[in-house]
Amino acid sequence: MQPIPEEWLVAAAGGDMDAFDKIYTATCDYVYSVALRITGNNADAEEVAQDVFLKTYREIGRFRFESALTTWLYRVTTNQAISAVRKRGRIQDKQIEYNDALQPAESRGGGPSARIDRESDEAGVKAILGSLKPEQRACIVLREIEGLRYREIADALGIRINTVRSRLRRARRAIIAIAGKGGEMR
Amino acid sequence: MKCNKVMKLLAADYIDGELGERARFKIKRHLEACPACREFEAAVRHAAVEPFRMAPQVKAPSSLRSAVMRRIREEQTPDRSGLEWPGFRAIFRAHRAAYATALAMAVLAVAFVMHYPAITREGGSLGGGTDVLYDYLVEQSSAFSNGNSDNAGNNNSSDYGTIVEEFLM
Repeated sequence: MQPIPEEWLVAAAGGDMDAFDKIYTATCDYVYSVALRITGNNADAEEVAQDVFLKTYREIGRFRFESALTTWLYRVTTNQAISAVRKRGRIQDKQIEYNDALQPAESRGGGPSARIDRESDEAGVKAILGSLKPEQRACIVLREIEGLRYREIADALGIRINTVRSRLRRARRAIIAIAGKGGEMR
Repeated sequence: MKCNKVMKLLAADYIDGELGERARFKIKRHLEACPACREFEAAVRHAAVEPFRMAPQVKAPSSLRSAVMRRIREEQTPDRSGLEWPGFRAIFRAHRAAYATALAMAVLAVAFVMHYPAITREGGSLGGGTDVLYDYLVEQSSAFSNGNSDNAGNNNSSDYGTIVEEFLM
């Protein structure tokens, strides 16, 4: 996510809806992406993203500029998404999901090969993330998809750097364990 | 470096480029000599890193913007249902002393009516103690009329049978 110009923040804090719309346009894809990767489904992701932007609208007037708005957005989005996952409380059979997602693309029917590849890649990512605990999932998403450094992840999640490190380590060991038992990899 | 420490770094800092130059050099030297750690590093990259490199970019759906703007508009528009009518708000915001004064006045008014009754000869009930007094007077008046047969036709109201009547009439 690119940094948001301060003049947009100041204008939006003063009630300028055009400025708020610019902030929305600059950040909506990132917010939605993080929400989708953590919740695992479009409906929850859209609800989380709506809540995040509504909260941004309510609180932008109190924003103190001590940290970047992008850090704040990551924090609110991951917290809301993790809450949504816990509320849903879906019990997943991690191994089955992982194996199903990694079936050969041909078994899903025809279509342009590029689209199938994209769907396969997306399914693979979804399966990997679905096999993790929500807190580990958030760290992996911010690291692997958003490309944040450990310090940025720690700031976004409000945790220590060592906690980021240990969650990433455990998440990767869990992924390797499931991938190892899953058998055939593409 | 021992393998368990190397593997810890391989699963986090080394893969994520968070190590300093010196630490990276030590890890690389260890990997050259250790097949188990090399295999572990390959597994981490293949299973836990590369799939995300190939992950498609996600775009927010167009419906998200309209949903967000609709919710913001709902926040901006005050509720105009009956209880939220500004007149009610004005009333309920009146100073508490005004309520207390009004209540005190109402209590005084009721007390006044109760303790200073008007007496009517026509017999209308004024409530409370007035009924008792009136009934007594009517009763005494009737008793006097019935008991004084010598004066049956005499309507001279100046002759009263009781001290109370004499006092009141």
